[in-house]
Amino acid sequence: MMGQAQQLHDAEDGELVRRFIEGDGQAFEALVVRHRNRVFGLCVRLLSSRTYAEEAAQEVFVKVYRNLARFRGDSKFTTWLYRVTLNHCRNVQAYRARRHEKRHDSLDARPEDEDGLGPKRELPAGGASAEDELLKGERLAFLREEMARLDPIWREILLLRDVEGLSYDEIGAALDLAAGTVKSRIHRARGELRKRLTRRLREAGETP
Amino acid sequence: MDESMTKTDAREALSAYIDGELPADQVASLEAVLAEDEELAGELRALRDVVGELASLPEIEAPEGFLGAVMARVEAGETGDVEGEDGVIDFDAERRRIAALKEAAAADSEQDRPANVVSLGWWLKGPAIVAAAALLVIGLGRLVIPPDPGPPAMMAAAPRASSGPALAEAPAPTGLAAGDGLAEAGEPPLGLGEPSPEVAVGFAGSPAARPASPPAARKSAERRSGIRVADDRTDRPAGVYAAEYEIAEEGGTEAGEAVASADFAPQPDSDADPKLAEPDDPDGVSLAEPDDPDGAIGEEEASAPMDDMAFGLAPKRSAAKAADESDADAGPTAGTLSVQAADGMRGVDAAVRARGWTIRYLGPQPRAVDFDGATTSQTVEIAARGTEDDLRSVLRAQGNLRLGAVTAGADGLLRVRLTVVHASAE
Repeated sequence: MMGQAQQLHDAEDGELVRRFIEGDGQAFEALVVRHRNRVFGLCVRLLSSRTYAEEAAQEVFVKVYRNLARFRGDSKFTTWLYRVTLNHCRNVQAYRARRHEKRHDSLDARPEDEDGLGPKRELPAGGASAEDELLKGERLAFLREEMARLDPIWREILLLRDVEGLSYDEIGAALDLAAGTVKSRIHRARGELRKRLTRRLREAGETP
Repeated sequence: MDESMTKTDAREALSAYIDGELPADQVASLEAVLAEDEELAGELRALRDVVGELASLPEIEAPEGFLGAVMARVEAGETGDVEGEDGVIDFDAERRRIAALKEAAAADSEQDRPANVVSLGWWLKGPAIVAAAALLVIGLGRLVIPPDPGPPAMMAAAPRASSGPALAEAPAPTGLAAGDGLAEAGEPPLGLGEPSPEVAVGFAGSPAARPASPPAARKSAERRSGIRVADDRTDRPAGVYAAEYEIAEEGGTEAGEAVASADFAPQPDSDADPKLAEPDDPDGVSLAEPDDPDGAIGEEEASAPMDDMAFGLAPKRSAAKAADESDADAGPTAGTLSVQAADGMRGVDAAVRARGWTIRYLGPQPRAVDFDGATTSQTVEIAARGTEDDLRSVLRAQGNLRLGAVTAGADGLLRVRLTVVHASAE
């Protein structure tokens, strides 16, 4: 017979939500465990700060806990979770702005933080593959920095689509946007990021 | 090849094509264009590179102890917002106060309700009402109070289980503003530079029906709500109430001024309006949508004109509609100021305050984030000391100004009411 832990592990989100609403606290813990990386990662990339992100991600789940009973299940739990996370991060940004912090501090976001790779990596030893690694690392750094500098409306939608892999419909639900807006916004966001990356690479003497 | 697909159309379709979201009948058309146009084909490759690089970003793992930290905060009774920090009042506490205030005002109104306000609801009961309205806005967003000059208020009574020393360095973020669907009732201008001592309050009622202070209602409401209306002022333009208030908190009091301004057209008892009377989604969990907690798009939003710059969840209306409503609430304006900077409204706010002038937000209150890249508008009233040229110069520095007559008051201040329209520079 399957143990309860295994049952929770295997249960779909909707089932966990139902069980939580019925009073099974472990179902909520299972939801946290399942989605913590997703929420934390999104917070890190939205806030460009692991410190803020950790706090924010915890608060997101506290809000989920307090409001899960209101989740009607008309949309996927993850879509709802993204929406809560986005709202919360916007609030955090507003708070930070009010405290006169820089808005796009990739800054307090040390680049190495953003992809969770930890402290700066050692430069690779010589050789063609090492040079490739170096270039790849540089491009990745540019990508992180330019993402952090993007206007939030572009950054949010790129994270949802190209990092988190949400469908257009899911993005529309998470951002409360009409389908046509999702489509055009994604395109413009990618165009903006591409423009920025091209400029950075040119400045660095690389081929865009 | 579909001859109707222009190069511009083809370019716009590139991302949807990459994502497999392009309607089947357009795919062949686009591919035909791409086959003939090397420039577009190059753009497609570049976009694919960007998509590929974003997709290759590694997953970020939550820190160790994350689950324990969340559960500790849950068990400590936290809401996900940070309580009382940096001038931001805890929402739940204020909601309880709102309920108490409403109850008190309702009870008092039963005793001494003037005949001419019978149908206007509990809130038309004088200065206690101003406090009620202020609290209502707290409920709908957050009341920003000038920061305590002393040490910041405690973040929360509960220990933060996980984060360790980092928490001490980094003040926890609060659940500011947000709250979709709530902006209609007015929100304070959060995040726009320094916290304002004035709080704009969404308010319903009739200026003609502005009542004298009903002492019984006021005292009762004050007692129950913990808010003392220190000095209600009526030296405001028609349609605007103002009151200084104090809110008793454990360990001290917070004081400020609440300004109630907005549409004073009589309307049915607002208790019947859940968005106004019962803000049950304070935190923007959106959840933020009291009527739509799961994030589904309402018909109105879904069918609204596509505002490609709209900031996601923030504005629930088109910019034009918001402007209309704002104007309707604030009365006629003397001009417009079109700003394009990403933080345009914040810039206007800061420039005005830097001169020692005052800026007051009228009408429905977009949240601060609405101005971060959104196309939206806000009606404000600016009171300036100096010459009209000074005023125009400061405003022109912020954007494209079209300004009519400026009113000079007996107090020596120039006053202008204008609509700040923010359109992203994109």
